[in-house]
Amino acid sequence: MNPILIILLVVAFTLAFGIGANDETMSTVAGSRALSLKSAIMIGGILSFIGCFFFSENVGKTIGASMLGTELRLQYNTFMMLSVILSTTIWLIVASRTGAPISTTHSVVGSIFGISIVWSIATSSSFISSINWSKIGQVVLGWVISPIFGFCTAVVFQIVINKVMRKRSKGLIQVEQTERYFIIVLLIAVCLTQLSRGGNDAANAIGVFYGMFDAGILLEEVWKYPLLAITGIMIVLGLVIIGRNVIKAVGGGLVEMKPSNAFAISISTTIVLFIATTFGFPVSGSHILIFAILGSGWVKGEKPDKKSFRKMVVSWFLTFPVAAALSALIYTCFLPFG
Amino acid sequence: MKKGPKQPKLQGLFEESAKLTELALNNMSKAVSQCCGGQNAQDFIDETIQTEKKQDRVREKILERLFGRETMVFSRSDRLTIVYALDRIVDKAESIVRKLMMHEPKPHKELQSGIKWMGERTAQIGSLLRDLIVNIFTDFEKSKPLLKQISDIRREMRTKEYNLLNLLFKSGIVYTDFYYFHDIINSLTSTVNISEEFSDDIFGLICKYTLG
Repeated sequence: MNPILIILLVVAFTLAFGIGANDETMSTVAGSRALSLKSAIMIGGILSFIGCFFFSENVGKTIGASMLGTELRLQYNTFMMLSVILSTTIWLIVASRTGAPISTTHSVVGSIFGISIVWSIATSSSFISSINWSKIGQVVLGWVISPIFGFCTAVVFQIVINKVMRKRSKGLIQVEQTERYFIIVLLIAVCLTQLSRGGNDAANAIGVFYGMFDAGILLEEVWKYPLLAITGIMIVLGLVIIGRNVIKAVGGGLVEMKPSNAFAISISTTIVLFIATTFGFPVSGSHILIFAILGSGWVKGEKPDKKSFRKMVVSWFLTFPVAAALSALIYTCFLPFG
Repeated sequence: MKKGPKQPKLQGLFEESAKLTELALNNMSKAVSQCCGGQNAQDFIDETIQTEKKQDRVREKILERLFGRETMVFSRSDRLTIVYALDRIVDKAESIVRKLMMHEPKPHKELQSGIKWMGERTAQIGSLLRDLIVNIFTDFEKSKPLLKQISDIRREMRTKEYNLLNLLFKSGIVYTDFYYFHDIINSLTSTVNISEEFSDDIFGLICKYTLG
């Protein structure tokens, strides 16, 4: 087997691991104690696997290519893609180890900048024309609107839910009963999100395989299901081994939440993501979720835990330069080969 | 497999604990009344001590089940507050009746009638606490007037406490009697203070669950 092919497969599986490790979808479920952390991770893992195996996008995907300028896009090769995937994966895993939920898209943008800089220097080409600035502009816009939309929508939902709770808060027994109803709707909402996220996120790793199928490097009939299964398993492993840090940090590290709060947070995150996707805004699910948590806490008059919040913000700001530096370094190492 | 006897609901155990609190304070009040009237209070003293033991058993049953599926995580700390507060109040009642047996002071009409009045007021708080516990689970609104009543009784008790202490310091009675009366007055006030602190916690709990 071609060594580059083996490396690509290994890297794609590692990316799947990184994606699982930074998946914070179940954090509201664990944070509101609707389920224990263990159960949340177990259900999250199963749904991610199902999402990856049955609902992942069946198209060849060249990670990051859409963010490149015309000239560089024509020269975009396996080594560049390898550099982008490797740097994204490394940063995803490192950030997840510290419990910080970061955006995969931001990591990819940073990595693209890294390879563009190295490519511009190596080929004496213009760096400005190596980037698709309109696409990058959309991504940067997403950095600004994700937190605002996440915060505002959660504020609205939390106010509505507070009104419902006020009406139904006759005694402690009824409060608990109402919160139990919220557990059910929360679980339905979060499970659907996890299922779709399992499919969408896995597409980044699986896209590499479909690229190989399209190029005739691998036989789709033989390799499709084993590769999907291994990718699913890697996502689950990432979630189980490292993902618990992110779930714990996001769910329990920022503000206290009851199932009704968790529902307000989850439903607002899902709605904002859905609208943004419909209108083609590349928003970050992680940023929306974090700011939705802050919005819900703000309505309750609760300030976020400074230490946890600072850690998350720092990791967001670091994502771009670190990913760029990593991909530049990796691509520089690959330069002699192509 | 045979099913065991049906267990009471957790809410029922809380109500039982509240009833035992009422009973303990009532028996304590009667014991104080008997003592102040120069009569034998042994039956009421024993009853109070037995009630405290029963309440301890109920508390253990509650604690065994508190962290199970019957409760939600966010309410557990509040439920613990209730359990421990009721326990502290009944412990205080037990401590008062045990002190009653330790000494037989020379009769002092004014002091003894004042202490009897304080005992009766403490028993009244016991009934209010029972109603409060029942209502926390079923109707927060009904709890609010009870909180005010507890606060009012505590205020009356404080005034009475200072009047009695004033009387005590001017009485010129022997040191042992002085200490005995002083301790009983302080303990009764302390029981009511704990009850009022508990009712303040309950007010906070109501605000929390009704979102202000």
